[in-house]
Amino acid sequence: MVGIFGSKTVLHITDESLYVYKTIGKVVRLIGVMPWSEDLFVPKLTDILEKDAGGAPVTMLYDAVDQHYRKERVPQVSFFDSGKVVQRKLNLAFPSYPYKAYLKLSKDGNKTQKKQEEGGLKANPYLFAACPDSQYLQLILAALSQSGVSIDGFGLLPVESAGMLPALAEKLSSGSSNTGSGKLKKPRKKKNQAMAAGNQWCVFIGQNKSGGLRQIVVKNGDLALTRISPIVETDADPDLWVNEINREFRATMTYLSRFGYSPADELSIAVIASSQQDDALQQALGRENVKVHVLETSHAAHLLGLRIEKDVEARIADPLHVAWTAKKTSLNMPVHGKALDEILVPRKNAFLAGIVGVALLAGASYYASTSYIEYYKTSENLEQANRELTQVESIYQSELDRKEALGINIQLIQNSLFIEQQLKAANIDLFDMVRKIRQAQQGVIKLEALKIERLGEDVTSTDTNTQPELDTETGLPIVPPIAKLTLGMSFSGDTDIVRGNAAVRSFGTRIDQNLPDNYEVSVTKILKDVSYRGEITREVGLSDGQAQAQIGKLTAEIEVTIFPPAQEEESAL
Amino acid sequence: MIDIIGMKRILTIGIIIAMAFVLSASAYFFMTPNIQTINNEYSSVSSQASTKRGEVLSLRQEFTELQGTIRDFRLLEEEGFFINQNRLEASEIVENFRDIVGLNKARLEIDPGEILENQKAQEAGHVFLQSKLNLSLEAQDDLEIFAFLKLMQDRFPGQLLIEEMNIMKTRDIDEVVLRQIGTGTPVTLMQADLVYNWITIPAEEDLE
Repeated sequence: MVGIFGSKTVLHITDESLYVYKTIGKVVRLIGVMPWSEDLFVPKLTDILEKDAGGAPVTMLYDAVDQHYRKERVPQVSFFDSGKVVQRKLNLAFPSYPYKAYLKLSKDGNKTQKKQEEGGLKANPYLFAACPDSQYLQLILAALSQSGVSIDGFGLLPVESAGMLPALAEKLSSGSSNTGSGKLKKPRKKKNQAMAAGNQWCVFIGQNKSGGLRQIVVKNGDLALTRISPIVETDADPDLWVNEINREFRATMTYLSRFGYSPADELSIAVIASSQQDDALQQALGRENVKVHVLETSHAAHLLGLRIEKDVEARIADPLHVAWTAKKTSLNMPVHGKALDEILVPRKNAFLAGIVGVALLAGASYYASTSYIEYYKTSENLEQANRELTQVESIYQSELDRKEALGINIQLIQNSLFIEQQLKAANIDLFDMVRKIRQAQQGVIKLEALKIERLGEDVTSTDTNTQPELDTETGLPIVPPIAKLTLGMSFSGDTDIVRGNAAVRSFGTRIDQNLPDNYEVSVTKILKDVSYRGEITREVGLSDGQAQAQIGKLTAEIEVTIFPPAQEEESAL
Repeated sequence: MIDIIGMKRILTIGIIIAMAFVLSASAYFFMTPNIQTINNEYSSVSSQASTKRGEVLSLRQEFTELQGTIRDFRLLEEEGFFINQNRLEASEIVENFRDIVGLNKARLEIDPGEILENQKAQEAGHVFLQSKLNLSLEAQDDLEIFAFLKLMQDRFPGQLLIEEMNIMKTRDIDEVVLRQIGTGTPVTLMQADLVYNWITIPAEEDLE
């Protein structure tokens, strides 16, 4: 949990005093120091938390002497039961402590041995921790209860800072002096490599503001040992200060052998101290397979990518622990206790409810705003459409007015032209037909008669619903002829019949060639059929010349059947 | 519980959730139906505007086409397509054509007119008037007959549809005929009988 602008409050709990840090972004600032003996401790702390810290969520970082650790193996059970089993084991391990926590450690050591220990069952190593209910915690919880701020969590400083050691060691070993960015690489891979090669030990030595020397020993990334011991409060006497550090480190080393440390193992020591004590500390702590790094607080913070106040003493490690913890999104090993949970859980739930409420509000705001935007846009579109409609109606009216201004009846124009076209289509183009027939005459044929007879129904009928008769073979509509033209010809009686017949037929052919496709030409009567099908009467002897000529006058007929012209596209009218 | 969480925080959460509810409810119960209504209205107005726009385009196209059509219509008017088939005028026209062409004889018979059913004419408030027109012509030359027929086709009011036509030579040219022609005596060598359907579409009120 974080407050507005990512702010957090970290309460650094030591045996002497309570240090109140505020983080805004990545910068950690000390905003209050409250000795436990302070009068009106609770109201003052409440005031600090509400006003100076701005009500930011609080992380409690326990750095007092009275904290207890135990490494236990818990049989591996199903995921759903593991929590209960571990909690039960934790309660058995620390039955009288109200504040407890556990952390699953990475597996190491001899598997056969582990199985033997657990009677053949698979087991996981856990770090159990507990601290007693103290007046310090009661005062803090009372202040938290009064202030109303959210509680981010309660963590133990050595456990929470354990991760800082491999990160720092990695930076130092990879020549971190020229890596100004301070960005950390994940130490996991390195750790696994170390596990494969042998144990890797890191020791962090830093003095608190309260004077205690906090030593944290990490084995392969997991917390192995932590100690806090009183030493001289300042390094005004460098020799004394270095000697005391050396003494406490030696004491720690005596414990380390119990945790499996051998002189052959790689050991990296990071001491937070003024650079003036570098040589002395190197000399005092250094030996074979041991790397000693003496760092000032600001330098260590820089390497770890942490931002702390500039005026911090070079040997004071508190801001490092606080900044490292504040940087985390969640604690590694959150401590739980009834009194704490009574405040923490409801407030956490309230915080979550607040988050949910804010999310709902954001969602509702988005929904409402999009709805309103859509409403606004649609309204705008409607207005625009209304304007367009008015404009178009106006244009339409002006077009109508323009049309009316012509003073004509449009329907009369259209319909009368339609009727006229229909009539023209039904009419026979007499003059064109006669002209083509005259061309075909070629001055040889003499026409006696020209007769046109219209066939079929009344051409003026406008009934278009009549279905045309269909050809039974092709299925296509049968087009009936509209008219018949008969051409009558006469020849003198002494005309050579064969040549005359040929002339008639030739005339018919020429007419057919001259006329369009919708005309069918046929010779219906020739001068005389002189074939076997024909009949002939011939009188021989003297007679009246004229009568002879009249009797001998020969006639022929050509018939032209006229069909309607091929259908054309209907007029746009 | 309230003391631990704090009344201020509870109120804040409550107000936030209430605001979220009010905003959602107002958007769902007020804005959404209104949007739907406006959308429907917008669709309707857009559709109307689109239809009207189409009508305007159609009107403009018609207007452009009408420029040409009106010319044809005026010609129809001039050709007498809307007259009420006055028989006296028709006979005068035929007589006039005969004089122009120089036919020996032209006989005109017009049957009583019939009003036929024609939807297009009715839509325009007119009637489809058809009369049977019989022509009997006598001429010395067939060219005179065709010239007369050409005049009938081009200048007779309304539309003439040929129903029947029979042009025949009535007499051969012999010495007598040639003599008569030489002395200027009219000689009929050709005869034509024609039946036309004479069609016009006069206004209904013109027939009353």
